Amino acid sequence: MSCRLSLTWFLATVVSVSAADLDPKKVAFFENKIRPVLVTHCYECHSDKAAKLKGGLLLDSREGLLKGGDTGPSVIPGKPNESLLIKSLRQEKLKMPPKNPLPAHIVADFVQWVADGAIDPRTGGSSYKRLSAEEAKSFWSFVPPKQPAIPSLKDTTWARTDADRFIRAKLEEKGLKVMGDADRATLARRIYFDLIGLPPTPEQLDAFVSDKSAKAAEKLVDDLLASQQFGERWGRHWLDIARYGESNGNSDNLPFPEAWRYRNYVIASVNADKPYDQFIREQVAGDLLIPKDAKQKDEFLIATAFLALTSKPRAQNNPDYAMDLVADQVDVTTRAVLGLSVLCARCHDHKFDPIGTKEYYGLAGIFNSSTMLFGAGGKGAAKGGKGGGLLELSDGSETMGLREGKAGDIAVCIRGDSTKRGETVSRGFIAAATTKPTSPVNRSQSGRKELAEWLIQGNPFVARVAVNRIWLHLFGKAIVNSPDNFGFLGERPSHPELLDHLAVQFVKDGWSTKKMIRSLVLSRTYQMAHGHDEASYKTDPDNIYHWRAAQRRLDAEAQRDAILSIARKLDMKPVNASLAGGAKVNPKKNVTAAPEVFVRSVYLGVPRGRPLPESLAIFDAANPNIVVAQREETTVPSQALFLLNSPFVVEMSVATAQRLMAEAKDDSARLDLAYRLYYGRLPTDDEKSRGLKYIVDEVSALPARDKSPEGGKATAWASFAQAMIASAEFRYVR
Amino acid sequence: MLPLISRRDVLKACPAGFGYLAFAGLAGANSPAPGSAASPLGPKAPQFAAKAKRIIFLCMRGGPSHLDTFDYKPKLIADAGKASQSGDRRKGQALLASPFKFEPRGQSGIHISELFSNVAKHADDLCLLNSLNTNVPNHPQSFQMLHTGEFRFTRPSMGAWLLYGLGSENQNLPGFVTISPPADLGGAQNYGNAFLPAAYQATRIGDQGTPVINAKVGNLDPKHLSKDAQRRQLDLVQAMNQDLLNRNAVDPAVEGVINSYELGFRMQKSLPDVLDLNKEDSKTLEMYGIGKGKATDDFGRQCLMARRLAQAGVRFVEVGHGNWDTHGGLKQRLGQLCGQIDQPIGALLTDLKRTGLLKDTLVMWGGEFGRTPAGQGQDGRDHNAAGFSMWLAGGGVKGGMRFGATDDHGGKAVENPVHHHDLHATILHLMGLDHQKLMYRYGGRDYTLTDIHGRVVKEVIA
Repeated sequence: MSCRLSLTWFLATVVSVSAADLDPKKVAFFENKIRPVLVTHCYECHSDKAAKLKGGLLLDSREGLLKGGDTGPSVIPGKPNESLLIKSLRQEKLKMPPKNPLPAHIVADFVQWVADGAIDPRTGGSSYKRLSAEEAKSFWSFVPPKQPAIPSLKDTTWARTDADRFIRAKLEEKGLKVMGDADRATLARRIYFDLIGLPPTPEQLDAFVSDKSAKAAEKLVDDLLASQQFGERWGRHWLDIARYGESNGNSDNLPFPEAWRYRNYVIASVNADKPYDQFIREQVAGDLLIPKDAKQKDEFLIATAFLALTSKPRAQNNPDYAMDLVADQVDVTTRAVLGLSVLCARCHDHKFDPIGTKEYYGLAGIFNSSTMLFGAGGKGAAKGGKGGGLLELSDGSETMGLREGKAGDIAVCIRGDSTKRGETVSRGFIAAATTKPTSPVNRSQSGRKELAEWLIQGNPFVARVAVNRIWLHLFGKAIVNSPDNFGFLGERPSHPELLDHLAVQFVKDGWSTKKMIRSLVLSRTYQMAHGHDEASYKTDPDNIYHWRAAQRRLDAEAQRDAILSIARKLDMKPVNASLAGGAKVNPKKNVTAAPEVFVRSVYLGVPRGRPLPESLAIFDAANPNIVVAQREETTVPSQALFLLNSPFVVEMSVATAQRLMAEAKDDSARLDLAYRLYYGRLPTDDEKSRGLKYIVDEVSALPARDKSPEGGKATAWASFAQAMIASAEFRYVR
Repeated sequence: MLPLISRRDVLKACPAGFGYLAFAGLAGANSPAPGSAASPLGPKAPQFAAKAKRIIFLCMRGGPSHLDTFDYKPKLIADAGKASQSGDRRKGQALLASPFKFEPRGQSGIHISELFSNVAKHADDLCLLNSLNTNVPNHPQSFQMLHTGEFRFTRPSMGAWLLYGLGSENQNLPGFVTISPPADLGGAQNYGNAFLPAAYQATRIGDQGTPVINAKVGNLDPKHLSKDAQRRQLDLVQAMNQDLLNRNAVDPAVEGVINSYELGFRMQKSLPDVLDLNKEDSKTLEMYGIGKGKATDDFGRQCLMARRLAQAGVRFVEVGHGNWDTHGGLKQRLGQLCGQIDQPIGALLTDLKRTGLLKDTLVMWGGEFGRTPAGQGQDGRDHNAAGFSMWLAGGGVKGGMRFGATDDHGGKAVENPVHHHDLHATILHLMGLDHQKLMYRYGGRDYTLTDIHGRVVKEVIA
């Protein structure tokens, strides 16, 4: 709500021309001769009040008049014969008004008015106003981040890191009390899930809890950051953004059998702590970079699959096909890197952010000058669309990706219609979002290489967007709570100085994601307990200011992988293949649903338009068709039914019971083990007696034929293990 | 006007609404959750008085021929063999007369083909839309356009939009159900939530091509535990959840989990009950054409399930049938396809009327596009998106009328054209929602089902 209020306030304060500066005679001429005609004959179709705005032209404000509509400016002051408005009134061009041409003397008034400079005292008026480039300069996200002063605190002992100091300062300002530190076991479970998406084993738990050294947490974090599993978890966060999918999806749903190479490239890049700027550079322009060897060349080519992975509409009967593919590339690039939504400018100037259609087509021209290679999965290719084929790698295998095409600028598609073209736009970047000059587009190439540099260096967004997402994944709530929209309609940062501090620090640390995560996980803020405080809860129920650790639901992959690993059914080996189409992907056949295979979830197949394995789909896994910066967190009955009845959960419960039977000597020890496996702690006395009673009762309730001591026990333990899987304490991290 | 609700607002509100229910004691089976305006599936008031409360969409995949069913074109018979002037494809090729007879039906005397003699008995309740048109004469694009209002990008299905706008009347059942949808032509996207919260996606029953008698709704059947054992297990789960809630003092998320188990447990009983056709008497089963070996058995079951779901308060039920892509073998295949569905649809309309449901249940029939007036060979028709037919019945639409018209040969909508977007706008209007105001913000933009398009076809509203 506050957002909408501030919008109204903002529009009301934008007044460009003061009527007092204008020649009163000319103003009178406008008021007597021009305005009444506009109101009577034009506003019906060309004003803010029009039921349906025609031709994108607004004649109810000076700004709209000068800017014109789809076919260009309507008035060129001083030049009536060149003004489209006059040509239209003269019935030479667009023939306006459409049914009843105006009498000659009125047309003559318009000619005189334009010849006299088209004086127009109107201001405000249209609500189609947006942040101008000038105004954007002071809008928070368009101002480059600067290192803010580290706040000084009343309490000088609490904070461990500078991030803590920013958090603590805000808490002191709001009069909120901080929660105490989390106990060691809770902290271990939190760190394991956050960094590698798996629970600590009982041995790992013991090792951390009993390590009394001051460096215990540092050691744990360093170990986990160095593990293969770290990239499997944090790579998935990027794959959500990259709308990673393994089939065409939209129409003919053919697989992308080589897409997995990109998935594994992302995982490997995260594990190598590839500097984030380089990570972006490779994905936007990898094919244009100079590799140091064949292996790196392969990596660079695979990276560009980022821009080829989209679901593709059919080319047939779709004149907009080529532009649709380009639209996805513009969309995914700008939202992934800048947290800005630019796509609306495909059809009209962005309504709120300073991004015009010209800028959109400047970017679109860059992608249009490249060729998208997506293999047989783009059946459209065979039917007149561009694309098809793959890029060859050094070992003879192939990858999806981009290569240079015919370099050239493109014309604006009026209202997004490729068959109606406006002026040709020079390839370039978003002017209003440029805060540091970078190299302009190399005219003889596509310009992706220069675009990559602009994305990394030329704008104020990239580092803030990146650290905001890291914060989101560690704290459950982003500093800017609209992580893929840093524009005018996005949320404002809860801690603007902290965000800038982190952004500056991130760049200073060589764009190292691992260093950023390490520093945040070792902060006091991260290591707080999740407790309750009545006063704090009243003041800040959503925990915006971080007075306690958030309670977060395990995401789909972490929950599934945890269930599997506790059951000892998880195959931890990385997968160098696509699992989207069953055992073997046939590039000529439409994909089917991805099979449930007991590998880490990140490696499961992601066929678009087909159900993902339920174990993921029901728990809000990312939709592979859209850019997902923040997942939903829904709580619905289908989740309950999955956990109570699905063959997957039943199978894992039975397997877990076998583990409990084998690894613990009696029921008391089994209960301890089960609690340690699922909750990362021992049961309380009450829990223990309740659990043991449950086992006794279930064994005695079994039909006589199942009552062999072993079989009866295992069945009861399977039922108990399933209850633990279904319980909220397992499904959440706190 | 519906306020702009962000995804976060909906989700934030969700556990709170659930929590209230959980602790207020469980309400009766069909009563809406108290205070549920805040929960994503709780019933919400429409934006203005609604004519219809629920929809049954009989979705004919493949592009059924309007020229042989609901768009009577005497000139097509007279001019058979002459060069076709209209239609998306096969212009200039020989016009093909319909091999089927049309007759005036009911008091209104609207013409309906002999293929639909049972449906025709309800002629005075039918509103034939003869001027449908859409952008692309290809199956996947048009099927997605019909379902989501967009064919290039992933957008929420119209059922998801309705559930988002109106919630569900029955908290023990899913609010949006699709029976036997095709796995291709966009598959799950056609009944998906896209960027809307996942709570608004459809529950799928079966697949096109698999008889619905063999269809299973996932995870409703606890095979591994007896009923009592499962209740005891659920009690344990809830006791564990309650412990956590007590420890946390205030915890809407855990309250949400607790409630999802009670709802799920009740849905596990309710949904199979609703789908259990053995609860119907033999006369009803016979009326729908249900019986082993009968051509009408499968679609009859689907229609009866749809009636039972609608009766139980499900907001949007889609029933799928195919494949109507009659490039060849037109005469024989249309006879076969219509033979499978005519009696069941006739029975559905009779049944809805009998139970008084037709007043506020909108029934829609149609596919993604129609066929060309020119023949494809001697006995087939090609794709045509320029003009085709659908029909509406009940739910506040006028009966016994034809609205809009194609040209003399039926190739192109020329009078009062109704685009898929207009159909969507009209459906939302009948359900009490303004298609320009039912919005959702995603990625910094407000989306609607109809985008910048759509006109409410007021002429067909009673």
